Amino acid sequence: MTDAERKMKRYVNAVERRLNMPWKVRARVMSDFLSAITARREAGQSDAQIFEELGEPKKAAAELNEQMKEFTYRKSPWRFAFLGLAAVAALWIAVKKLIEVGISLFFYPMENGAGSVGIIGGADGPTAIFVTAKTGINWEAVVLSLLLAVGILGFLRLRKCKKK
Amino acid sequence: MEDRFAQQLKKGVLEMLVLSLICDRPTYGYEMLNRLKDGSEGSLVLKEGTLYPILYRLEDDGLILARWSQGQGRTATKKIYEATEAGRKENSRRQTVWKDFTKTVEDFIEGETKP
Repeated sequence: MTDAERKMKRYVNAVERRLNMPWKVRARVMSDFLSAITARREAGQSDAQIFEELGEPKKAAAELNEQMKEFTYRKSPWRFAFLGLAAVAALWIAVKKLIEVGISLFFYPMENGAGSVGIIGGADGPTAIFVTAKTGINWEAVVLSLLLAVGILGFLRLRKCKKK
Repeated sequence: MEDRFAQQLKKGVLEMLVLSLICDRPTYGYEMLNRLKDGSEGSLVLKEGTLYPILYRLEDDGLILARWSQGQGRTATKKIYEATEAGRKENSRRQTVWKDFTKTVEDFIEGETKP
């Protein structure tokens, strides 16, 4: 790849990164944008003239975003509610995990995690069965995972574009 | 700064003109921009971003198709748009509507300005 090609590639990538559109529309725009560059080169324009005509990446992308408003992301404000939900769930999981780690570090320094707790329980037959049965499904983890998933999916879904 | 009325008129007819250009012969974006500029003696100067939404609407409506041209000799591969059968029919229909419309408007203006 020559220096000129590298420079053009950097320019095209910089424009693409700044497009506020779903990836399918973005791919469509970029295929036309690349064709426009090819056509200009064939018409005898130098790369410097092309950069001049299309503008700085920031400006070129801003113009495309502005003129293609019907294809850009709608960005519903409700997406932040879902992002908040996901953040609360993630924080909850993180705090719980930290507390568990803290407790095992400070209160059970001689035991090494849940495995050793299991062995102790195993020594006491009926208790061990009772504990295992109680912890078959960790409902809290299921609910938290669901909240996290709903939050993330809701956030992504509400960023869909106006036009399909 | 161009006045709003002229801008609205241009916006309204651009889709018809672009479809008409593509029906004339398969073409690519940059060529369309130049043909619009030259054919209108510089009064229809468009940017890429104005042309793309029109092309995508026409393509989504099944009036035109996009394909990659095979680079030959000194020409490289480019995205080419060509009209479908439905596009040609729609082009004829729109041009008839346009001619009827402009005739109505002209007749009206002439009738209004007559003493």
